[in-house]
Amino acid sequence: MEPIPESTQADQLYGPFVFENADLLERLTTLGDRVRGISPDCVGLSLSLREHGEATFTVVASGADVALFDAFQYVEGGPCVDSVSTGTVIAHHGDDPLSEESWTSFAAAISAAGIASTLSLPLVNHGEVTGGFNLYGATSTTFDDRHDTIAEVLGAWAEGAVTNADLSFTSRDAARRAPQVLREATRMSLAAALVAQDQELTVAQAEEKLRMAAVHAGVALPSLVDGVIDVLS
Amino acid sequence: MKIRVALVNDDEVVVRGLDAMLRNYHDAIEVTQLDAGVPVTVPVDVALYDTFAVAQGHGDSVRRLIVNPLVKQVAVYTWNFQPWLTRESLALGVRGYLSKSLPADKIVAALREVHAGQIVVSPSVGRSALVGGDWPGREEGLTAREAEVISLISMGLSNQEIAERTVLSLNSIKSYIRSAYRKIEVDSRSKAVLWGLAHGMSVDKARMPSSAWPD
Repeated sequence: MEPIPESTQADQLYGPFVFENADLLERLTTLGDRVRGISPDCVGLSLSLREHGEATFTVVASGADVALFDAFQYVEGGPCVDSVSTGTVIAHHGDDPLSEESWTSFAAAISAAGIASTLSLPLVNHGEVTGGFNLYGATSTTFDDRHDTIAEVLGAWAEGAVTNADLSFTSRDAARRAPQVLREATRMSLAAALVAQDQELTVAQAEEKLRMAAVHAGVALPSLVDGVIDVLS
Repeated sequence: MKIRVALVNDDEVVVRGLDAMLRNYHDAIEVTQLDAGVPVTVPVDVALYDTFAVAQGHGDSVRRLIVNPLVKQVAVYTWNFQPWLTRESLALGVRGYLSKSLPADKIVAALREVHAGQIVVSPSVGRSALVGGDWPGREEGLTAREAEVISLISMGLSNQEIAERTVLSLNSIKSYIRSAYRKIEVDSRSKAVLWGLAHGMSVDKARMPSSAWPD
């Protein structure tokens, strides 16, 4: 497997990133290859991490697949992206008829493009979701009976597995935004640290204060962050 | 009498930052030339040569200033207090070797002393605000270049922006980041920002992207 261009760009602009004591993209590529050893029809693997501002990184099977995926229509959300955002393990979409219906319609819409199954696996550390993997299969049975094995390879939480919930490959859309997400995460850390120094708060308190202030003021958080940096630096 | 000062650096944004620092002391200091990479061409009392984490000697640049008949005195403004480099600079004829940890009022005081003909070297104890001494992070094992990169990260810059300011390749920047992360025990850019700010790598508007500068 190989990183999509935006993941490479994110690494160039804001990397290197550390994942499991290794370079994140190298590790993700290796994991993708190992998953293909278990499920040869796996054509894509995404990793979202809270540590890096919920940035998403994606590797895909080949250049041909990249071109194929580019043709997809994307929708917001997706189980692992959602669970990373909320910090909780969410229920299977299969338990929700409406969601199931929704995903089925997406499945029908994009099946011709090549993604026939997905597997989403949360990363859990001390009871908290720290990230999540999304895997994409070219056939409907790509991941059948392999959840536990794949979860073990990825170091993910097998019991939290969700199937066919991201057939539209939304995680790749998130991965495309990674450079911007990482820039904003870095700027947020800087602004929060400056506010913390200025108002004798913890950095976490300062960050929460910035988020609340943006909501109350009705301004975009990145704009507020840039303004705070300009004023306090 | 005002002291006429030329700010000398090959990086325009650094010069602009120094100029901003001294602007509140316009009664004592007159910045007569913002000199980004071109020779001093007007008479000045002190040329303040700004260098950022220059690991090697900066003799050639300093020597050109010292022999310039328009420059009365030369002071170096630096993080780099390696004894040999300080000695070398003073031997060349530099009258001031000033730490970048100095606040603006101390810089002004030092410039006055240099202008009066005294030799001023920022004392080690005066750099106690810096964790590690000669540059932020030195005590944690950061090289001057690693410290420079972390300080630029602490200003919110991307690797591309850091590469443009340091004239290093992206791969070199990433290599410095990787080794610095290991030394300061962080695993993300956000943590590096917090570490940098907590260790005296204060935000320098002069190194912010130009789009962030006020008009």
